[in-house]
Amino acid sequence: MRRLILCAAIFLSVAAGSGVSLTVLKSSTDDVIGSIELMQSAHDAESRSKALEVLEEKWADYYSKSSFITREQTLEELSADVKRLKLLTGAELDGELTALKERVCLIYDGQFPHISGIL
Amino acid sequence: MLIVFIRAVMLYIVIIFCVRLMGKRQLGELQPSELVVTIMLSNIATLPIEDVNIPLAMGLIPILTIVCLDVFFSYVTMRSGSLRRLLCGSPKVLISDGKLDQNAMRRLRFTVDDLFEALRAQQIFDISEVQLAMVETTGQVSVYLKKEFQPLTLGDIGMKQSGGDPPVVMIEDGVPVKGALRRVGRDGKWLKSVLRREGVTAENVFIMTCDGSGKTTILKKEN
Repeated sequence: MRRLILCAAIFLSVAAGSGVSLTVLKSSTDDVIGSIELMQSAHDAESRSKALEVLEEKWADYYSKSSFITREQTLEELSADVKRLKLLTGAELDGELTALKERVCLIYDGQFPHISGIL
Repeated sequence: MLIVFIRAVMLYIVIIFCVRLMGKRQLGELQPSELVVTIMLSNIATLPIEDVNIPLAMGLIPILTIVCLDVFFSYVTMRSGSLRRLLCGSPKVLISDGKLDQNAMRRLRFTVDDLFEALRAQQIFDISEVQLAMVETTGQVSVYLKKEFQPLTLGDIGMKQSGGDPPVVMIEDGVPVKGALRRVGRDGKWLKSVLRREGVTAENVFIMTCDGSGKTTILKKEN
């Protein structure tokens, strides 16, 4: 019976931990997407530079949190893309930001238990 | 390199913990569900060790989930006979009163070689000596010989023996074994007196055993 209780405790902890990790990922994803949108809406160089600082900060936080559940390689590729943003301007920057937003959304979608994802 | 080393150590500890959690049944003959769990665990554990890109949690979560489900299922099957038969199957009779059930052999996909191999492992070379042979759910064949072919026992010739408990290890490499005295119904005083009589101290004893009748065997440590 002791073994059964221990297993029930582990099982519930794993289920709760999985739920919490999804919530944390969602919140970090929203933060990153928010800062990407902020950068997209910035029109002058100064506000864009400030928005980039915020994005890099949010990305560092996102990286440390999502590395527990996402493949390291995927995150490293996205990190390189974030670092490259300061070198881009105009349509190129806008395209890169849109792509980054899409990939961050895909990471969250990959963790969310959709029927298609499970099957 | 270091991350692989640390992950291997962590997963080793987790797997040992999980196998202990599944209980002793897992270490002996495997039931079908236990075999599945064992295969899955060994596969899942190797993935995050080999590929550092995969987060360790992706290995730990399925391992813990599968082990917990296995314990739940074993608890439920312990309570429900019909579920146990569904998941583990039931023992099947292969030989009854020296006669082989060929239909059962076909149903179980048991070859003549498999059967004879199992019988020979139990020192049986003639089917006609077998009263009952059953294939257990683990795939093991249990055999009950006909009365006339069973080995003679003391009971058959009307002899009774008392104190038939097998010997218990009392001292192991100079250290008294916890609970051994209680198992043979003796106390510390008795142990000291036996050691004094043999002219040894517990530290100098490599192995000391005692059976149900109080007969002791002492092997001293070699220098």
